[in-house]
Amino acid sequence: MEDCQIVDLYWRRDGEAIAETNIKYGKYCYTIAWNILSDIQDAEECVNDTWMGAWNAMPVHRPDRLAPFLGKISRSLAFNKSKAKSAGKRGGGELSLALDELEICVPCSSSAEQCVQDAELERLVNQFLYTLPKKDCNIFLRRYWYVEPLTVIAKKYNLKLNTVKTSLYRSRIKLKSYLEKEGVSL
Amino acid sequence: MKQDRLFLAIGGADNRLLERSEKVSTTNNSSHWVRWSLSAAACFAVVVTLLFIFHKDETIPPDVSAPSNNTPAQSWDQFSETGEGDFHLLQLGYGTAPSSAKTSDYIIYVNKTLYNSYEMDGVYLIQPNAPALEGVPACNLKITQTADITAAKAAEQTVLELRKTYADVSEPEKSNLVDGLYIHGSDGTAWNAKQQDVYVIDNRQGGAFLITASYFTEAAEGHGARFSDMIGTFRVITAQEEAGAPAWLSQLKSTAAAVIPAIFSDQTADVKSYFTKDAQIETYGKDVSEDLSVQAIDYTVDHVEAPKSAVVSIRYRLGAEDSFSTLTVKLSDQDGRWLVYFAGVAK
Repeated sequence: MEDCQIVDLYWRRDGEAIAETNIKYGKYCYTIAWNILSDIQDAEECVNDTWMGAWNAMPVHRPDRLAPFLGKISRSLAFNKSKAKSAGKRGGGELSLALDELEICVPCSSSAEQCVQDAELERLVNQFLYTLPKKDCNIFLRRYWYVEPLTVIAKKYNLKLNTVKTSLYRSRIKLKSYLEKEGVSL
Repeated sequence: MKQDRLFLAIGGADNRLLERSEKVSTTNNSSHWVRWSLSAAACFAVVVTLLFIFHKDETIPPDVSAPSNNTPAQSWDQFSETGEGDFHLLQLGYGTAPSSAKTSDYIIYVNKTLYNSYEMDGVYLIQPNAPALEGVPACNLKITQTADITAAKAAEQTVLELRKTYADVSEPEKSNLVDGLYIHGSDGTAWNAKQQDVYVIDNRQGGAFLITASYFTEAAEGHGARFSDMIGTFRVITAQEEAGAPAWLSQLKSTAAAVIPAIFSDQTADVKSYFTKDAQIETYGKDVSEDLSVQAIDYTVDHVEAPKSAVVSIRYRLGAEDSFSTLTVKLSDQDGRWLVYFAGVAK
């Protein structure tokens, strides 16, 4: 079923919307949740919560493309679930590794007053992504949006593992420099 | 934690970037531009820009010469394979071109996902949607046409011009992207060193097209490669090929050619047959055609093969001192005829 047809089902409050979404995007959302949570049950719960989130969001939203729309819900839910589960303790899994890697990108803040609004940070990160070469941007998103293991990214793009690592390292340094230049401190 | 906030911020990445990252590479890096060229139709949100030069008293593009022997005819069929996206057809210089100018029409795909494009003072500019970084050389693609300088002469002049700016300038060589010559100017290999690719293409009327891709070293695989992709789709349009255009295209052009002058001359009563019954038509309330200088007419349709709706945007100004405005004309296909249901001006 086409995305627009599925969206129409949501707008008509037709229960088939969730079934059709699950058929088309169940695996996609599960993979995102799994990458972050590394737990089958949690990932499945997260996917079900994603459908609920979509049900609550449509209407008002009418996304052109369902994949990124649903993926963002899954990612956010999985992240929150992961944080709640660990309750301050850093567990294993790809999320923990990805967050460790990202730490160097954030300029040190000398004062809490220097915090920028999250929306502004999101805008700057998005702007930064457009400055990256396509290949580096793809790798960056696969790692830090989809939280995919490095080996999976290398295989996906037919690259050597070291190439992926180097690309990520360079992108992180660029992001740090970019954020510093924009006066961001968290 | 601060990296948590960054992780969440990354979550707001543009959908188009996320979708792009889903596409899997199947070939090695050495065939980068070839891969892009082959998959361009499938991957791009496609925009086709067709440029015409109009004469003030004519609404039909001037005839163009026969194609050169070494250039394959362009098939319109290929544009039906363009997938999703808008189909644009742009007419430049309506009412502004000197009658002696021998310029040609052309088509180029523009990747509208990442770039925007517009015409200004005879230069067609394609530039990234994302704002340029401060202190980094601008990346863009420019297309110009010289009506009275041959391609060979234009190539010679380009080399001389590039030498004024760039440390290294290559000699003109046959391009493997387009049917023309390629010249490269470089300021070195530093990450932010300026690079420029210039393609010189015979316009088949004794003049030449200059397509100039400007970027910097670090952007060579990004903007540089995407510019190459777009340049690879550039074609000079001949009279033969234009004759093979889809019927809806000539009908749409014909309708626009009748309606647009009527709107500017406030003579809409003469073209009522082109309007729907409840059409909303805004005019200046007086004849402004004497002062009219149309810079571009951009046709957008909802489907390449069998469009049902179209929007014609006319970028113009009334006199040299006036700022540019846009007349938007919306049409729908009704039983095989294009009828206008809205026309209005926006500054």
